[in-house]
Amino acid sequence: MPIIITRDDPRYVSLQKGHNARFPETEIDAAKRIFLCETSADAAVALQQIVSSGLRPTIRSGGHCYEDFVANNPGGAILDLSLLSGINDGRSAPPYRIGPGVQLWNGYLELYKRYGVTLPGGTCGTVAAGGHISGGGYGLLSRLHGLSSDWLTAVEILTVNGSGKVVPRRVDARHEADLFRACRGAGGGGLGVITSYEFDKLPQPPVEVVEAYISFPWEGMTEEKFVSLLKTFGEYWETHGQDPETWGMFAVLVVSHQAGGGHMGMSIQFCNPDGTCRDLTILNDYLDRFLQCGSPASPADGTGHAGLAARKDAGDPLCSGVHIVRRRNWLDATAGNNSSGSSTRAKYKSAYMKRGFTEAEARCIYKHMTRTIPNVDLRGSVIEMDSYGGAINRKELLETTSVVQRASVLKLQFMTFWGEPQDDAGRLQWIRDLYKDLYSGPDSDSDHKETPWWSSRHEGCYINYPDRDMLSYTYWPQLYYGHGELYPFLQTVKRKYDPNNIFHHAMSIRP
Amino acid sequence: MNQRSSLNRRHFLRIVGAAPLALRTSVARGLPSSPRLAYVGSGCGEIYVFHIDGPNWTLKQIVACKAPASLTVHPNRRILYAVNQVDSHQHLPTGSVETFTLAPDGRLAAFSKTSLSLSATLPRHLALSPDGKRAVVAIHGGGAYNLLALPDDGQPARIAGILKETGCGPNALHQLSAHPSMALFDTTQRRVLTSDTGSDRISVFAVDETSLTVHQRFATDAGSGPAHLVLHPKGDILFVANHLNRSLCSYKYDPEQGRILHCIQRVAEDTGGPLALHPSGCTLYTTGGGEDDVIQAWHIDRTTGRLNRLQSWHQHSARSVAITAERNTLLVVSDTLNGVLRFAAEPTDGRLHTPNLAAEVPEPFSIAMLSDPV
Ligand SMILES: Cc1cc2nc3c(=O)[nH]c(=O)nc-3n(C[C@H](O)[C@H](O)[C@H](O)COP(=O)(O)OP(=O)(O)OC[C@H]3O[C@@H](n4cnc5c(N)ncnc54)[C@H](O)[C@@H]3O)c2cc1C
Repeated sequence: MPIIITRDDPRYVSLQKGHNARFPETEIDAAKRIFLCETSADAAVALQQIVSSGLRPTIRSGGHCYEDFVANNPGGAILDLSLLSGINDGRSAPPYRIGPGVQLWNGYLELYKRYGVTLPGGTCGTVAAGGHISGGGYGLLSRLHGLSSDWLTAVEILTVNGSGKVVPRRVDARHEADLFRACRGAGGGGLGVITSYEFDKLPQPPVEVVEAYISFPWEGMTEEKFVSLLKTFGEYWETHGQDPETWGMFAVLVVSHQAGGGHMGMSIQFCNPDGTCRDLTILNDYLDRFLQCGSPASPADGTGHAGLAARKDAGDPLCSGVHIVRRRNWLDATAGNNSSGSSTRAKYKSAYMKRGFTEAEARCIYKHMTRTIPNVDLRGSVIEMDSYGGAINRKELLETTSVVQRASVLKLQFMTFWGEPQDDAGRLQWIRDLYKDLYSGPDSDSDHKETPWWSSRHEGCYINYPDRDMLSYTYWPQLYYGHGELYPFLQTVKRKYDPNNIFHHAMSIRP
Repeated sequence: MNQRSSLNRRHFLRIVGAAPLALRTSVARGLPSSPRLAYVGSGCGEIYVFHIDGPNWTLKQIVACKAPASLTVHPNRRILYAVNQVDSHQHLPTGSVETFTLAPDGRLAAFSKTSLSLSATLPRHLALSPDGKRAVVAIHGGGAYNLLALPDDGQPARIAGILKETGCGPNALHQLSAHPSMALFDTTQRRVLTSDTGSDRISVFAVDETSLTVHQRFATDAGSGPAHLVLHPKGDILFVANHLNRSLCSYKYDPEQGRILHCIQRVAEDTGGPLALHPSGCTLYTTGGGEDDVIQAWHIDRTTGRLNRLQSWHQHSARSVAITAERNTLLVVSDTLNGVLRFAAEPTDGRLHTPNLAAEVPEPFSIAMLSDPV
């Protein structure tokens, strides 16, 4: 039976919120109770109870949702699946069965130890499979192996039929293939409760990786140098980055606001396509391109990207040309990269890029990353620029998954973190201004200003980095799902499997 | 603009002319007026405010209101609530309730707008508790009910409770999911009666400060699509118009227990549209039908609760979308006539006299009256 946490339970205060401390926004917005489920049978019982009593269920696995989709549920119920955290639960593999509550790092560890395989998922150790895989889910190995949802072969999901009865389903490419496709990247929380992910095959992780880090200090950074850095970065991924020989290389350029002082940085994880590090030519070539904008690569102090930060004290230092890099076995490297960051107030935005940066874009970013706003502290404001593409961009996946962004070479994540509610307005203003300005430049589409609308340069936004601000554009679904058949298809699936729109949040598929 | 007796309007004449059976009784007689103001919601995004002097309606004001599907005047006569039947408000999938303050002359001033709960799309009706402290909104599109607290300190309404519904029926076009259509407080004020067109269900909900809870579910005929409700002034007979099979059912209701007991009578003749009761409790007015819209007056037998037809009035190719009855008038909002038909009614038993087109309103779909205080 599910464990039910009500307001008078001491656990309620901790369990009614998620990772983003902004939500629930007020006490009134909070869920009335939380149903903690340990098995899929528990989840079915809990869901039936919630639906039959006329409450709204929101679904939670890892609680890392960027927006208010789970925690803002006035008077409703959170169906928490974090305890469904088993892998295969004693059953043989393959297929690999991953519970929605499996946190990514635990999943990587267990899959590796038991079966020598991995999921090409994200870097945050405490993000859980539940929201991550259903929303696409990408990470350091995705250029080499694709998105985590690309590997999915079946899903167990609880839906609610027209008369309000909970229906357990197992869907795959042959059974209820429409629902299965929607579970492959359209985002969680809007169709049903996923109780298990199944994979017939999963890739082997690299045997070893090389990690490198380049620091770009703000001190002495000029606008011209900054533009050159962004253009060098973008051009590489737009051109050389398409070559399958480079797909084992992942880089994240972390452009932090000048207010934080210190430096910006780029972290790189590299392996050859065969999962070894025998030939470092590609890596060296890449690192050399930044010699004129930063220093040679050297192990970082661990303060770089939350998910990818080569540390001074880890692995074997290795001279690679003029650069000092570190060779590490993959598991150690992954263990070092799985930090989650603390639970603070945060706002995020995203954009897919099919090309590198234009000069105007780079200048605009410089302007906002050096901007000051009176009485607004902008420390903790960053843009993470991830290399993308490679195996993700296999066009055949367009028809069988719900991820349409299959031509991008970079993915940007705009983030700002702060502590106090009174700083909300200033922080939100900064990130909104930056985003609007960036996508209103000379290359922006005049009918879709302020957004990375689909064009020769952009491919919209990432649903696992949802941004409620996008709702103010009538075409917001197209930003996330493209302007082709996918969104109408998802609406059909929604009407068919959730006719009463039981599962809804601000950005769920509209029936 | 004087909307007086527009019987000469071409379209209306055609309808009247084409309805020879028309009213079975009646000699039109001038009756003293009691309603003072009428508020008519228009699908063009406006509320029309009329001053009423017997059969003469004078347009006083037109105010903007997105999609006023239901209008309700607070018992304090100082506030009007308009339910906006929209599927998006402030970029979110939900409807809204708009509040207007009433000046002493009945003019409206926009006061506040309350966003309904997430996914409360296309709300259709608002029922106000007789003490004016609470309201229940039936959310047709989003399949839910919202309980609103209406602070008497002038603050905007706020959502105090949400009840999410499920349910479906055999009509594949209209019954794939729950579609609440209407809510009605019973005479105890502690309970609300509701109709769900999508799931063939009428329900009794218990209402308290913060929640709506299901007290009783009562299944109606499969595919009937219950929509419009009225409760007899004594509180013991519930009349339900079924929108999908165009029928009418009356039910015995026990207000003390809050239970719908049994069906008294089914009438399958040209009904299914909006309902109204004459304040005497003697007469029920129904609308509905197929191609034509038929406005009918029924005598209510107080001992058995059964209905006997008194009068009927055919409107060719028409549709009545709202109806309201006062002691000496019945007002029928007709979307094909683009206006409000006014029938004079006998104050004692509610019998109707020949109508006139009292007001023209484009795409009208709701009405509320403000009568002189008794
Ligand atoms: C610190 C941090 C680092 C991140 N790093 C990455 C990254 O490297 N790569 C990447 O791709 N993303 C990354 N993300 C984004 C992350 O993938 C999404 O936030 C993801 O949706 C979180 O899933 P969750 O289960 O932890 O969160 P939850 O808040 O539990 O859920 C997120 C959404 O999924 C729904 N959901 C959850 N469980 C289920 C279920 N079982 N069935 C149906 N719906 C469900 C929820 O209702 C909600 O709408 C990161 C997020 C954070 C906070």
